[in-house]
Amino acid sequence: MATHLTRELVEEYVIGALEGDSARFVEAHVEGCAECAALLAKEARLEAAMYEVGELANVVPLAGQRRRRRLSVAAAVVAVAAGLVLLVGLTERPPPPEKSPRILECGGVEDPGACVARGQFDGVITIGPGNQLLVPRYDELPEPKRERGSP
Amino acid sequence: MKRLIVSAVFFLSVSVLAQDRNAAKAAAASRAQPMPIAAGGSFFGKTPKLRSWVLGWALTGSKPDAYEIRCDDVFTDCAIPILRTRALASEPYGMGSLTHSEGAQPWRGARVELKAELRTGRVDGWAGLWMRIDGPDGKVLAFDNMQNRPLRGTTSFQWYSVVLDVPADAERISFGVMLHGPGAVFIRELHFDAADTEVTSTDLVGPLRAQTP
Amino acid sequence: MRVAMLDMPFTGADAAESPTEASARAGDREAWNELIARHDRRVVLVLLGAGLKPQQARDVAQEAWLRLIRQADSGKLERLQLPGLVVRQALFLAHSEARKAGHQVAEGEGPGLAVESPEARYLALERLQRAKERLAELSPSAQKIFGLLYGEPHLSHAEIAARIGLSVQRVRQIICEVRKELRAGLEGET
Repeated sequence: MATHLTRELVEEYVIGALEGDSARFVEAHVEGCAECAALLAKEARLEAAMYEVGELANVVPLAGQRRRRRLSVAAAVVAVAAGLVLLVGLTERPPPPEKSPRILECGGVEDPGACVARGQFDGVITIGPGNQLLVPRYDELPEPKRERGSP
Repeated sequence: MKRLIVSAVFFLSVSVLAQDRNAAKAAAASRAQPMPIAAGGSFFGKTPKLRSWVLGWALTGSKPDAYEIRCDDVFTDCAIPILRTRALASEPYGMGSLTHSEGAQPWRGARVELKAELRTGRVDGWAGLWMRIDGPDGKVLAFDNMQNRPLRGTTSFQWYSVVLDVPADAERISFGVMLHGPGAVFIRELHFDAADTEVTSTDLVGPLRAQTP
Repeated sequence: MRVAMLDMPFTGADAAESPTEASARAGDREAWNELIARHDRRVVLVLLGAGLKPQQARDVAQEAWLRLIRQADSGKLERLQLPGLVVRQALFLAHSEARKAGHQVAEGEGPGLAVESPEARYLALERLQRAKERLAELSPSAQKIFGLLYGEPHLSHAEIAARIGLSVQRVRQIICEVRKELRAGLEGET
């Protein structure tokens, strides 16, 4: 092949930053280009190794985490436990308190127009001025935003 | 190497094959230009295949670009489609819906039921099934969005349903699965059909109209 | 197809079976879906790194998952520890396919052998250690992005961007910068 893939492009492919046609282009190219296939393999190995560093470092994104020079064993245990708590928290987050989205009554509010718009945007049944019952239309799309000056 | 087709563990069926499906589609197309359903995200450029019934549906709502339909499966078929909030979405979320719409003529006079086996994952706002029946000039004849019994938080698979009567002057039936706010709804099975006679209507609009003068 | 030597070992994550892994082994399809979603990318990466083409890599990864699920269904799996088990399964498949196709696989090039060789393992661990030290030198935000992407919970670029309030493009730039920093430490071959 006349040209080869750049390392930047292969790197983007490997980290999953390419979509659709760009990704297919890389895939098609490496089928016929041994040099680029080798480059892809190398970048993929690096990417796989990054996950291993992630495991080794056990980098748990705790809020406000700062660089620490050395973690004692006890601190490491605490960190892992905190990580577990965080992970459990992420996977087992309790459901929010039970409260049904109320029917929005916009009759007596200061800005009924905004209230109705809000209800429609949030997809709840709304009672507008004059007891007008407004049902959200989930099958429709929002009005396209008009450019200023356009009719 | 041959591609493996994983036999569907969860069989999805939608019995919405009304006679005038094409007419309904044309009418739907004239109403709105729904976003084509595409699996969100990209994994090495791979686009997971969605089951054909989902492809006939649309992603709509007040802020559809904040939502996406994905597969809960990296295999070649999409056993469980997920309606979920896009990671990039920022507040306000509005709502998104996996939507289907068709002519009401074949169902006039019947009681219809949309039922689905759903699971939710970390739904912060609320989610539910919905169905709306429109009459002439788009007048809403019946509607239920499960607003009074929303799905929230993380739940295991359960059956939910909305049941509406289709009046004689009904023109369109639209229905789907909706999500408001961050989270995900997993759709394992989904059926739309005439309801058994003993099933009661879950219409929210009729009773409200009766209350409001 | 030529299967190159895998020069990176699998470190942690194999320590104990997680609740999800246990339910998957017991036949919970949902749990399998969750595990596949979490680890499939990693399997494909390892296969690409071993010299498979993208489509081949995806097929082999898929086959590896299916075999694992079948093994679990027939009660042949005593423990399910991921991603190690599925990666080994995938490399084994890639290796036997290469052999079946008549390609010469050099002595010691088998994936299992490379991983188990004490010397290779020691060298690879040393490289990981070096990379880890370099990681500690990076800015807190780069470390945070690294943790969200490569540590648990393996968020996507878009999810990371949303969580820390940067654009996806900026997140990707930072990822490339981190890769650049760690490259020297990780690439034993250069």
